[in-house]
Amino acid sequence: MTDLWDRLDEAIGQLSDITDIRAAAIVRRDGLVIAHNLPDGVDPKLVAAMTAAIVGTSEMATLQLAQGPFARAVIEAQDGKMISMGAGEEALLVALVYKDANLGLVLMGMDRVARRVDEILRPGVRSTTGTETW
Amino acid sequence: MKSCDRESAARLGRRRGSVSATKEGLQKLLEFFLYGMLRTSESLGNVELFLRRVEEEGLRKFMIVNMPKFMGSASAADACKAYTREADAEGLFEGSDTSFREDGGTIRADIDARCTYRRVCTLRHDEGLPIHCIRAYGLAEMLRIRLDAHYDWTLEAFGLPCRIRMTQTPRR
Repeated sequence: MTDLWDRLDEAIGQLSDITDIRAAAIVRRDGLVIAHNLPDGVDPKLVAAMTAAIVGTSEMATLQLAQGPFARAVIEAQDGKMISMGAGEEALLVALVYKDANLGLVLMGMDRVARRVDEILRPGVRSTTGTETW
Repeated sequence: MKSCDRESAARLGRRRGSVSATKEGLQKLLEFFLYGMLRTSESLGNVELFLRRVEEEGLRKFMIVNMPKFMGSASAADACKAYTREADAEGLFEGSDTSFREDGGTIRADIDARCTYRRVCTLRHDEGLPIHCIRAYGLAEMLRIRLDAHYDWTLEAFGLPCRIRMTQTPRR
């Protein structure tokens, strides 16, 4: 199992190589933390829950407004940006980005890491939270 | 536990005897709020997050008040049994409606028709909506809080009985 965490840490590390990204986290869609390199003073549990809420609400909004599939949510604040996106069926990726960041570079890096996270988590690493329809 | 938590828990405990609603009225209120909560969380786009957080926050607070004797256990299945027994003893729901068995690290729970949430599940089933088992969310969050163990669950069958499978997920 150590290998799984190593690969996830490596994926997060790839984002850290992009100097415009301050910190990042991989979280589950139900708001639990998987891996992160968030700075001290930032509560990873809170970030995970907020990311899941932001993506969930954004996905619902794009669906309801007939805007096609959700791609990412970009939240701009005075001191930086928060970018959240899906990373496969089970996970989400969130990055804290400096305010003057090169967004093109950041988004390319995030897309690449999101695909990598999907590959790492896909082969039966975890089952889904159980909700069924009859 | 923080002292402010203890004080508010004690206050809540003292108030328990002063409820004026009938048992049937409280059941209707439960169904009203659960149904509304499910529809609201669906409209916000993330039922799993919403219900998991509701259970997490609720249990952290109310296990102190409503289940003072429940301390958890080394075994997840035993913790589920003890939690259900304690909920029964405190009059929250009929604990004998549930049977647990452990199967190679997987916990299986069968919950029969006496489940206090069943009417809401049946309503949603009749409306063609997905069933979200609030009992399973509760068990998973209890295990996370008391045992620091992460379990994912699947509602394998909504029926008589409802069948839940809980499997431990890897964590650091």
